[in-house]
Amino acid sequence: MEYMERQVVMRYDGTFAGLLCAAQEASRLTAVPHHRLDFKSQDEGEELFEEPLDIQTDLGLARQIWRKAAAQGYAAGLRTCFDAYCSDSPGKNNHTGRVLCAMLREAARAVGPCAAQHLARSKLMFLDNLNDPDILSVVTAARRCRNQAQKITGLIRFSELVDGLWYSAISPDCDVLPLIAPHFALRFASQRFMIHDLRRSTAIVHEPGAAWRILDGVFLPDGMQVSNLPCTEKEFLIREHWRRYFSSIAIEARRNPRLQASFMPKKYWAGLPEMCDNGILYTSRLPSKKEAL
Amino acid sequence: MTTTDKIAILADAAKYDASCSTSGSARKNTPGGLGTGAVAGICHAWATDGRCISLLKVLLSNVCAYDCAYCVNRRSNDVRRAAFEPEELVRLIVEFYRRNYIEGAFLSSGVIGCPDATMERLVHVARTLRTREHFNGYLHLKIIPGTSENLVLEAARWADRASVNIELPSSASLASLAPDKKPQAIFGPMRVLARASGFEPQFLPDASVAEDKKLPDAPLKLMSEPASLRPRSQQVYSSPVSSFDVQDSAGQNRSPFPRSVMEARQRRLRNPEAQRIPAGQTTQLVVGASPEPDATILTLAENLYLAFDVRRVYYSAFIPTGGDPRLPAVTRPPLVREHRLYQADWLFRFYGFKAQEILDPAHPFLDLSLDPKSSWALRNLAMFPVDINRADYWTLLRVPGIGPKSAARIVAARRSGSLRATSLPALGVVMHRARWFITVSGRLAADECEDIGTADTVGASRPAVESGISVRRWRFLDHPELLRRILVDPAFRHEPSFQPEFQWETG
Ligand code: SF4
Repeated sequence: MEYMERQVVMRYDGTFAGLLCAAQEASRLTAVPHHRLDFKSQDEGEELFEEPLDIQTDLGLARQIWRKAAAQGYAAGLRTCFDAYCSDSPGKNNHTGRVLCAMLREAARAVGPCAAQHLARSKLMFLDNLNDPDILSVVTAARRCRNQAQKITGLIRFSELVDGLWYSAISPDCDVLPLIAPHFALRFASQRFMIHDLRRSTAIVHEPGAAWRILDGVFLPDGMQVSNLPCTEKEFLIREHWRRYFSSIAIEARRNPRLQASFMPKKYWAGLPEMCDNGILYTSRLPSKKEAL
Repeated sequence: MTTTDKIAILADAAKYDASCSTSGSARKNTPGGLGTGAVAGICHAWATDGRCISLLKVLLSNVCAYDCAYCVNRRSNDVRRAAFEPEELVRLIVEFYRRNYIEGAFLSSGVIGCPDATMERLVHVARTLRTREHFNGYLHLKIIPGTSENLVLEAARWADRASVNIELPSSASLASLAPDKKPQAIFGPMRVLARASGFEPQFLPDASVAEDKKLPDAPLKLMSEPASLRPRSQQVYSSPVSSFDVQDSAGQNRSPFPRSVMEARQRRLRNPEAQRIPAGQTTQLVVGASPEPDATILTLAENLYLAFDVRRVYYSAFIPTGGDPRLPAVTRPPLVREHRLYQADWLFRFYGFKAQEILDPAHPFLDLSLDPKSSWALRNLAMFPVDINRADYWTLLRVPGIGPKSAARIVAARRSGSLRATSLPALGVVMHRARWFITVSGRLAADECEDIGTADTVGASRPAVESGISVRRWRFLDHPELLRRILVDPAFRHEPSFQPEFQWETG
């Protein structure tokens, strides 16, 4: 009896593909209601007496799960789960895993003669049920992540480097790179650019004529910092123009720095030439690994 | 003069134009080209006044042959003058765009010589960007009043959005403050722009019609569900070419436009064959430089939305720019009034309100200390309380503290079970406003949600406590005066003379 009341822990490798596989595996444990499932990535600590089920990540399988559920009408729901997974909200793995699991169960149930009808009803309502704490957390986390991605989309600033690369450094709270990459790849299709997430050491890399990629383990060369990148002459001139424009467009009679800071919080200033002394960008203080946990 | 100096002068000269929205255009990237449109618009920075910066907003030249009293660039004002070389401006736009500083540009100019000559220079910059630089970013062109039809169409061809400023709320004020601009010179280009976005412009009634408008008896009856909540199959569109937005038959009542702006916008069908300018037109008027009351301004704005398919009306608080004797002597811009006008404008566009519901001849000015929706609710207490689990979308929208998003979420969430007061904040309902107006399955929300009260709520309840009414049990709806004190903006509650800071609404 006691065993039945215990949480069932699914342990996966921390990637979204791994989470999908874990959710798929969990959805088969029909005796366990989804609120009794826990999803943990491998680097999270183990608790006493915990007997986690280790899940192998299978990229092919994950892709298959995604495609199938998307074809059944859960595309928007999957997307919301992915965005929540990219967020920095605590407990996101658990909530996202459970919601994915519930979604896959829902989808699996829809077989037989009334499947189409059943699906039409459930997919409409699935993420609307904000009375469910897991769904509410996932929806809120996804919203937070999208909002941050939206804000960063505007606040990215590229610098023109001497080798022709357009470089931009950010250190966002949420892992926004996958959310913003398509936008920049479309907009600057003919530019060679890189958007570098200093906090996670990942980067979007784009070459004209090729698809964008996200690389792991990207660091600036030794001795190089955001403040002393090898920029072109023109880069500094244009920054100066921009800074002048920025200060001239404000209306003195409506001055309201508090409002400005509420839209453009201080944490973003390091990458904005208009907010830095003399237009020299810097690296904002990053929390150490310990703090981050 | 260096480019940096010119930027300083010509951005400074352009900054009073409020428009900065970059929405409504989904221009695609072309092979080898630069940029794309983003339908929802993107803000790239916020200036020290808190306004969003998404476009390079500059004048081509601040030399002007006209003499508009409210404008820094007027002929009779003594300021430094400058002008961009077209090439200089093109380079600047491209370089800023490549660095993701901007979504595009908003180009305007003082009148150099005649309107057509000025417009030709603006169009030249736009054409160069589109054809030579293959620039697909956002372009907003200001149309100089009095520009000939051909040039307006040429501007519409290259721009994503164009605007003619209506400047002042009545022709009398226009004649006295902007003597070089005639109403026909403004409405002519507006009409051309409406057609260029696929809409047949309609007769614009005189703003004085506002004087004899009354509050309608049952405002909610006239509306139906919003299209987004209706199942797809019911959204029937008639042939898009023949009958786009013709006025309803029989011009019954005195109002020539029986629909709300929101309804009209939702059902608006534009002729795709005649559509050349993706994001249509906007306009702007100066508030506080002339004596017209808010009722006139809002009625005019409503008519512009309905008759000319204007996508946004911007209200710009008059900022004194050096004593012109034709202007009222004011020391600070009427920012709060401007803020209330924007709120009223939102009520038109997203809440289905009509100008005559927001203001009437007895109350021609918006209440500065209270938002227009709360004002309306206080005048219409008979329709409250509204039940969260039963009321339809439109009725929910009328509750202070519930917006279009939270109303839609409520309607969606209650499909899977009835709602409790405690789940409302998660749906985005602003409880310290809404609680006085709603019931939850028959019970007054104010009773149920003591536990979700915030510090704000406690502050707000103080007037009630002071008057010896127990917050728990009082029927606040029977005490409009108390309710009013609760709803008044906190900034006005204690110091009536204090000039509060309001959010400058963007987008
Ligand atoms: S036409 Fe009037 S509003 Fe426009 S720049 Fe000249 S003086 Fe200013």
